Amino acid sequence: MRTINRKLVRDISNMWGMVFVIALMITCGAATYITFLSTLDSLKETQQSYYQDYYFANIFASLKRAPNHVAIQIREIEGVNRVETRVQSGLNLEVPGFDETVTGMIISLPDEREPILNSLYLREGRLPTPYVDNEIILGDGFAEEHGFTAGDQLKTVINGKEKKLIIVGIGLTPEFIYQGQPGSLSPDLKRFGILWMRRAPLAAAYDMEGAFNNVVLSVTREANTQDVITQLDQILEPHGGLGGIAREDQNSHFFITEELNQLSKTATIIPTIFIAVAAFLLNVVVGRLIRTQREQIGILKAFGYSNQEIGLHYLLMVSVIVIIGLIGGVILGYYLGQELSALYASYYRFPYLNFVINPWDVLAASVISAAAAYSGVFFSVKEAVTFPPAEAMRPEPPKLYHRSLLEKLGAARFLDQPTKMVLRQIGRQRVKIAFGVLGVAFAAALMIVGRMSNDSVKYLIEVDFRQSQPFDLGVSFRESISDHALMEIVRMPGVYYGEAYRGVPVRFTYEHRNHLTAIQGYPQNMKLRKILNTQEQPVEIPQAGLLLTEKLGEILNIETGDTLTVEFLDGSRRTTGIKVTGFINQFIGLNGYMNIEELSKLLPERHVVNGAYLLVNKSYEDEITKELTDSPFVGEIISKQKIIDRFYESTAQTWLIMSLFISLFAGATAFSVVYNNARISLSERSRELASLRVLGFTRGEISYILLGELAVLVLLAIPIGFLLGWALTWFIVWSMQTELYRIPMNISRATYTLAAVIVIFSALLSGLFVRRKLNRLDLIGVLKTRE
Amino acid sequence: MPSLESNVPIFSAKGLTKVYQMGEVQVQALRGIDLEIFSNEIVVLLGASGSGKSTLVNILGGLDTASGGRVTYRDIELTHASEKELTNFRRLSVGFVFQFYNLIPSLTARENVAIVTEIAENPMTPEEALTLVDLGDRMDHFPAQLSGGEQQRIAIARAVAKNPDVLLCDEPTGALDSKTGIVVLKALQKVNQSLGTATVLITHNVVIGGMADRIINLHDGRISNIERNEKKISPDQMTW
Repeated sequence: MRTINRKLVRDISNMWGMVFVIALMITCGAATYITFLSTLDSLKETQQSYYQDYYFANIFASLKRAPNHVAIQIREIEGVNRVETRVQSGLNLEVPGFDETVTGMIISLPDEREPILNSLYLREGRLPTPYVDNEIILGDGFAEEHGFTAGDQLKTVINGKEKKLIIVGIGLTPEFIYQGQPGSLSPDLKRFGILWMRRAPLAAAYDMEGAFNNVVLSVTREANTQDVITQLDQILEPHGGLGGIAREDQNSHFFITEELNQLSKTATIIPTIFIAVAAFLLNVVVGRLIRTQREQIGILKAFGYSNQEIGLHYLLMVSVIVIIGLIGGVILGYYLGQELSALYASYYRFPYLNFVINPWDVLAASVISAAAAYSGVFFSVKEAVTFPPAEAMRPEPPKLYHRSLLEKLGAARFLDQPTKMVLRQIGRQRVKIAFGVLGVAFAAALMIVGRMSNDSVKYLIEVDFRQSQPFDLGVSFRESISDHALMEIVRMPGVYYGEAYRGVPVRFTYEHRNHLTAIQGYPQNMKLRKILNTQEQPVEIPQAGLLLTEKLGEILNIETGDTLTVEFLDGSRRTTGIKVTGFINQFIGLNGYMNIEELSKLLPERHVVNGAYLLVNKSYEDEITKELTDSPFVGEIISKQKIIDRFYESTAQTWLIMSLFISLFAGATAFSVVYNNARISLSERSRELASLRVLGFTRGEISYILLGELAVLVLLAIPIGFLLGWALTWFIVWSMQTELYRIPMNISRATYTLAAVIVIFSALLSGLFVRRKLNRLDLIGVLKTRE
Repeated sequence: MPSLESNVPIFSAKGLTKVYQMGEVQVQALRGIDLEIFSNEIVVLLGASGSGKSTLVNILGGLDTASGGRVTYRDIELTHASEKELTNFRRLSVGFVFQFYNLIPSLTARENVAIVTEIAENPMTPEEALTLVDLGDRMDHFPAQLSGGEQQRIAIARAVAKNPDVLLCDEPTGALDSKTGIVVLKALQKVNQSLGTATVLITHNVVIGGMADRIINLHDGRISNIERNEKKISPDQMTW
């Protein structure tokens, strides 16, 4: 081994503390990058292969009832590939020991074969025996939540009759990756189950023999889906067709796509910020490391080493650190990527996970880290080799200091000499301190970004639920019923007050853009449901015209005063133009709102409602729920409190993990920056500090001089970190808006506090490490050598 | 010349040895030193490099501990003193002057002295100390604005400002040209004469022995001889 390489090995082992923190930064940056991007790649890959392998349909349509031979007509539509007709219906389920309302959907399986579209992935058990009327497959999410396995029984109410079913298998399909009641915020695996039964017995139970009420289609690659839907709608219209839905608008697919879109933004923005911060810090830190080697560079030059050889030497030194960091980053990223993908995969109910790690992501992480490190080497080596060797061997001449600002302002009398030293050091090394402050500030900012989802969603729930939805229970009716029905509900014991509404599914069209959603018709002066304007202030529903969610306005590119074409999808299939009178603020979902009476005028039936909001005595809530569940006209009951609880329940784990993960990385970054600063200061000032020890200063007194500087640095960094965190959060919120959610900008006090605490804790920890080094200062050596 | 016999020694060393472990090699820096140092006197330690001069002074100053033998400073047994006692000893009783000054670059001349007077028990003012070394007019300059000789005189002012019993100087003129060196030595002599501070001065420059009361020659970790200097001269009369 050449001696210069031996020097390399020894230098690295002597500076292991510094090597460790620099490698740690690279590890954190690269691991975050790889974790998020591999998670994203894996989920997309898994979704694609799941759709393909299990024949996920392209078009979905529900109708009242059509005889089976209509399927032949459907099959003849140009561009249609496969057609599967089905019988499906909503039903109530009873889970022993779980006394909340549980609803579900039961779907038919062809009697003597497997479905050719939306195939079942059987996790356990077998398919139901053909023509047997009490065997079902149960959706795996629901089964898992309640601990059902093949062989268990499930009590249901099918078409008004109680029926005990035997679970013969547990399965899932690409149609229900997202399992939840339509309109809910998050998958609800506990309160919504999917069941599959053979066609003949199911048809018998719903009086659907020889007929179907649901059809799914796949189309050829060349087919125009919209044309196929138009023709399908024409065929189904006489049979009570509710309009075909393309895959893009299918509930589960839409949700999962939105989620993946959102994840893809998180998965790009957060690691990019992390690796950029790591790269910046790396550059600074490596530069400093090399500056401490100034004398050695002088000696090497004096011996006749060329600038290139010296450059190469330090390049090698940094390469070793980069490689250590990257190996750590790739291993950690690979491991965490698998964990995070698995977490998401189970959240979305994918049957399997194809974990992929894109070599390009690994390469990108490596290139970014290496580039940052090497540019640090390049500039500092370049600076070091420009000195003639004799000068470089001499350590830098004593620096000229100046009185600090505080002293110039007249505080000099009150400051002791050590404090003056701290202040003047800061004053002289403004750039160095600024970089340190920025580094620590970034660490604090990363913490704030890491807690963003937590804060924002809490805020969303506060605003969207507690403020704009003051009701306790929301009831939707199976069918439109007379508005007098509300009177009966309000008369129930424990109900204080109720308000009814009417919701109608619609297709909004403006110019060439359209969107499937619903119009909610609300009465004047509604109290249990507040519509908030874009400033989050409650507004009244206008007498005439339509209010749209702000985001929906953006999608349709429509402005106040424009007339929107509205096609009612309730069976009446009327089309009309309605003027948009304003926009409202709504974080979740896209809807239109209008006066219930105005809405009714546009529809065949007047004076009907299909839902109500209730204010109830909390202690009667369960009783009221029970009574309403038994009522034949009530479809679904939602308890606001339970929706909120459920939402926290389903997302809490993901948040916790993400938040922990990012906090850990941010903490490590803060530690690295502070430690690095302290180490460099120590090596620059060890002579000074040792001299003071010789003069009789205690360890505590000299620690004050060194760590005082760090304390100022950290204290400056925290408010700057808050600002940076705020800015980064704003940027992420802005870039992460999706159709499903608009994330509100909110950073809680707890987050700021936590960020400060983590930074201070990391600083104290590195202070402690440096303090140990201070205790071992070489008092004699320092006196014998010239500075 | 002060009469030595009438004084109680401030330092007293008996059979002092020091062994350094340099990797796998043992270096015997001191091989049994017996020595007394009295107040008011100037002692010059002469010897080639490696003879043990600095080791001896470091042990006397509480910067290093002996491997064997005893050394006492007045009533304090330095050989077994704790870290805390040694710090306190340095803080209150000893003044150091080093070859390379070891000033704090971020503090002015006055503040470099003040940093010591602030922690001492019975110090003079920084101004008094600096006037003593004839630097009364450069008190507000930073080290980077001063010449080597001036920096060394600040170091002397810093060392004497606490009114120490003893001044330990390790090659105080080693980094200076002869003219500047003489100015520094005069400052040391002035301090000794006006304050009576015992001064131990390490050098390998034989000429400097001229200003000493006693000249102690070290050779290979032992005292080879101690000479009494009957004809003390002023640094002004020295040339090298």
